[in-house]
Amino acid sequence: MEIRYRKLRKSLKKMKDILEQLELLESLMEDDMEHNEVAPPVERATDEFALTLHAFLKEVPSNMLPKHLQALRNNQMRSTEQKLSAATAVVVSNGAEQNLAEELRQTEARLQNFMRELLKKELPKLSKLPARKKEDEEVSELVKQSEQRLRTIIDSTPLGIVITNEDTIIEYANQAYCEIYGYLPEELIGKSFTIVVPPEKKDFWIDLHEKYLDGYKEIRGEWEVRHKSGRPIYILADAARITGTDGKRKKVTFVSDITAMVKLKEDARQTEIQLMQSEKMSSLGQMVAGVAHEINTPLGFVKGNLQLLLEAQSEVQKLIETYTQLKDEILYGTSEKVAELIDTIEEQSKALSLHRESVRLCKNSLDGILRIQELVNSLRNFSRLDEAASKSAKVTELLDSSLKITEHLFREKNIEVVRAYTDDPSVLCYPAQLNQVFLNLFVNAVQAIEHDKGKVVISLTSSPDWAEVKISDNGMGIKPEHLKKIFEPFFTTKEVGKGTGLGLSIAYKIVEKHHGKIEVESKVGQGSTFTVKLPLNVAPKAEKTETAELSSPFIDEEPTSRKKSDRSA
Amino acid sequence: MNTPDKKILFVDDEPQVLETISLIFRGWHFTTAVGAEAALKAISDDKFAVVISDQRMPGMTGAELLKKVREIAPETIRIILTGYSDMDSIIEAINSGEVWRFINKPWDNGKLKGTVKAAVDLYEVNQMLKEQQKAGQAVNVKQSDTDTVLFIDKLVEHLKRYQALFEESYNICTSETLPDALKILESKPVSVIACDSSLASEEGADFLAAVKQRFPAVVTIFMSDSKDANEAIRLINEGQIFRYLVKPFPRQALMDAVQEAIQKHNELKLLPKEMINATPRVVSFSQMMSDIRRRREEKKAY
Repeated sequence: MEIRYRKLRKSLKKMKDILEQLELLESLMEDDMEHNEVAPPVERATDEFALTLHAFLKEVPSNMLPKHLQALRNNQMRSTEQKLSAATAVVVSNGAEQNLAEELRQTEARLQNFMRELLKKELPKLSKLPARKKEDEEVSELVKQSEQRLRTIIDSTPLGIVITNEDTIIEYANQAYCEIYGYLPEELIGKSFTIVVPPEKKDFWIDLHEKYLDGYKEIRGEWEVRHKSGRPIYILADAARITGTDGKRKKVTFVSDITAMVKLKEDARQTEIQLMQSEKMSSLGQMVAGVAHEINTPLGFVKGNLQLLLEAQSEVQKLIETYTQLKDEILYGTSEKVAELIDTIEEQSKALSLHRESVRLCKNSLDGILRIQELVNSLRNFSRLDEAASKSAKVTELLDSSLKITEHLFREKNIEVVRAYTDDPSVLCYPAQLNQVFLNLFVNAVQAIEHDKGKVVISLTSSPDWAEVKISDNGMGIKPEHLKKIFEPFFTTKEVGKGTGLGLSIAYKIVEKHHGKIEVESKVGQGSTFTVKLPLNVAPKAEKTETAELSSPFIDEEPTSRKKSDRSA
Repeated sequence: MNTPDKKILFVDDEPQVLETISLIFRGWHFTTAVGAEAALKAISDDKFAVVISDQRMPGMTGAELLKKVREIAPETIRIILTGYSDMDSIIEAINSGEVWRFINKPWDNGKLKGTVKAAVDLYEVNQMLKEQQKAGQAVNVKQSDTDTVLFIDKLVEHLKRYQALFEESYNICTSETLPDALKILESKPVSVIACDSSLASEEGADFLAAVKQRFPAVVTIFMSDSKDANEAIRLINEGQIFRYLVKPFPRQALMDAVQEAIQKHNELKLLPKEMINATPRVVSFSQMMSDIRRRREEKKAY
């Protein structure tokens, strides 16, 4: 009985809430509801009440129930199969021939009565009122109290509530709504709601409002609007269509201010971008040092060779000039002069120190230029800035271009690199991003090796669905307590300034974006193996910039037809 | 150009670089080594006037190699010829390799030859001096005088700290501006200058370069709070700075640097007058600044 009583109390409270909802709507509209047209909130409220009542009826002792409801309960008990909606119909009406609106009106009246009955009986227990007033007084006092309470709730809720009519005029705005936008109630009520939207989007909003009332546009979502001061604020909105007592359609909009949240989100996004960038720059910085040296070395000897070839050329030029002179002297000159010139030619020929080397100098130079060309190519392959979109790329090519630009790191530490590619799979990917993953793994492998017998094995295998890359080093290995943290941002064991602690977390993110997996196995003193698994036929998650579909090919499109871009998140 | 007969050692891990260098220096007395290990072997077998080494090589960097060269044969002049150096290796090359010059790849054949020739000349002068000393011809410097160390820093607070740290061992002068520093240099013999980079690093480097030209025996220590590779290379090539300290540093590092700098100063003082000082000592600050401007315009390729 105790439990039953508690349930009953709960039910009662629920019904009171429903009643309050009905009253609230009425008082909001500051007019009586037309009963021939039932607004959706009322329908919802009655439905809900029916459910509660149904549950409640089971619990209430028979002698407490009014007669017309007792029949229902008995009926219900006889046929438990009976559908709830049918039960509701009986609850709300004794005459099936009457139309629904009339039924509801009657039901409402009956419910009020029933409620009063119940309240009268239960209230002393619930609220322990010390003095008993006359029934009617008591009830009207209660209704007044509850209305007052509702007003307080409505005005103290942080949720902004506004009611606008078909002409976009604001009919009601609660305290929170006014505060969100920075206006006084009298500055809003009676004005068009477009006062709070960006002026350039006024037409769009009027259009949206109209289409919403017509029932074929939704409001739900995040929007950018304007504070009284003119600064942009962000709101999360939802709306309901109701019909006013004047029979006209109205829109009730609920808004919450999410400006701070949006700002936080934006800040976090910026910070993330900056961190990603700094990590990229940090690994890039290391790469640039190496690659600059790699390029300047052949550039050094090619430039030297060319300067030497110029010297050789001028030696040969001199000799040719002497030969020309000789020819002239043979034809028109004296034999003494000829003999003199032949001596000069002999001397000059002997002095030709570089001429004999010029072929080798040229060959070396061409070789050097080829090396520079390859490096520049691999740099371009590595960055692949010209390929922003995802595409199908051979994993071997990705590995090789990352390997090429880290080659000097391996060479400087005398590390043997073994490329064990058994397959040649292609994956759908952002090549530049996967390159960054491999680069990070290669740099880590090099840094892990602190002895002179370093070896890094890069293996590539594939199954019908997956490509699997394993990068194994025989370096110092990772401590077990570090192993589970290594993909966390900012985790680093390197000294300050040597690593951002983001390399592996970014690698993890990138692989995740490609629907792949990255795993690590390691034994201290023996080395580590990083495994990257990539699905062969799954496209990576789209980049944000790619999803924004252009609504128009024109950059200077008229604002009214720019629906899609108007929705600012 | 007369080809010097003193032996030169070229070190690089790229045979093709050595091939080109062999042709550039044809007729000179030189040898080449592929990689640091071969270079170390050559150094222990033979005497060299100059060693020119690549920086990035498998197994050992140029700075590390030159540090070992300095230990084995301190009189050998050390030069780095490199495609790229990160700041750490430049500082290592200055402070522990005590390199004489940084040359960038790609180089200019003529300038490369000029620099190597100058290095050989310097080596010869040093050797000559050593022999004179042995023969007792050179007059020993009076050790009774306390050496003067000049600290230049914008911050008075820092200058006070330097003063407190060194005033018991040396005669300390401090200056907050470059013109004041110049006045001090003109008025009394200074052994060591410790200059802070805060005095506009560009000007600071030029100032040190100019000081080195006017007062070759003054040894300079550069204290920087940034790591600027180009600045450091310019400081070593033009300013001949003796140490490059990155702030903040331990006191001991500065104490060691000053002590070693004074030693170096005493060596330099022994150089013949014509080697040290070709220009009159009396210079004005404006003259020095116009020198700096001229130098900046004539800035060398390396």
